[in-house]
Amino acid sequence: MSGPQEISKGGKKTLGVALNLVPMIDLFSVCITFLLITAVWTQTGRISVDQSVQKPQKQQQTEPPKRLTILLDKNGYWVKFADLSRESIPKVDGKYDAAGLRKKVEEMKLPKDQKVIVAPEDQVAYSDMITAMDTCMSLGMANVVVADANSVAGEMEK
Amino acid sequence: MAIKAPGSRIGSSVNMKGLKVGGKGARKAMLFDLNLTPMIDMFSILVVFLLITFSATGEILMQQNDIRLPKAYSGRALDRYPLIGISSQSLVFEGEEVMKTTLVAEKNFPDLRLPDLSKVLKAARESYERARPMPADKEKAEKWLEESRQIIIQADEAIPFEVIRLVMTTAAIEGYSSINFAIIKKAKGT
Repeated sequence: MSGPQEISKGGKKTLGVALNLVPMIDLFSVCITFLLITAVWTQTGRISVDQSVQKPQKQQQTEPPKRLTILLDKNGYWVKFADLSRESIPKVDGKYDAAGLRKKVEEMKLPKDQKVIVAPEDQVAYSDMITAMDTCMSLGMANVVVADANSVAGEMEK
Repeated sequence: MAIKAPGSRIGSSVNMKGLKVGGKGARKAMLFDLNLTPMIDMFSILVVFLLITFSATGEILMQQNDIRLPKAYSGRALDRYPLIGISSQSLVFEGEEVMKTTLVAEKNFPDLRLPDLSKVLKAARESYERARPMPADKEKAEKWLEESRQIIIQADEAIPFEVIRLVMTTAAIEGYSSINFAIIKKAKGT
């Protein structure tokens, strides 16, 4: 019987209750099994872009638009804003310098709705493109689009 | 002194000869108590941890073994949209292989359109429009249009941009202009 039992200690009577832990252990076992089966260990997310992949344009643009263009080539990043001269962020130890890019973009103090164009060359790895986009988005600039490197080559040469 | 009924004992049929307590010749019965406290502690901690990390949305997309997703800090929650998977071997749409990734190059498709992918995307769009016709209400129609343009690209991190560009262009031609790149979220500071 697991009901209360009287225990006498030094003339005082107290009630001792035996707690049945078996249902609790059963519940824990079922909970843990269910939660382990339904657990999601890797959190996936998404980076959304509006399609802006353009075919190469042979005509040079006469007036560069006020946008931030980040070109990725085999040597590193090229960053250009509006009609300012382009700046280079070379690779460090053979890898793209995302920290350098972040620092450069932060120094520009651009508004959050600034349009950013990320234009990788064809051989640039997908992860490097994502890193460049993520760097801009983590600085609050959500208006990021992807373009072909050839379509921005004209404005980058100025 | 009150007389109480004895508790359970190991029966005399169990051979306890090998267990001798109390010196030579002693034959006292051994009772084994299983300490459940550490087990309950461990269960409590496990349940609390798993409840905290529980995700009601579950896994939105099944990750392919041959695709390593790039990592990023800023990423929104993933919704369920048509999925294009690009690994180093093959290009798949909704789990069905469409073409080999090695064939995806601009020199093979100068018009920037992949015909095989275009065909399956077109079929998917028609199927979507049949199953969910555009509503007459203007607001709902706008929402329908926005949702119908969404597509997810789940690509391996080493895939060259040329392949991504061709896939994106093909998707845009077939009406999927809102591209969502699947990433693995990185915790801040890592």
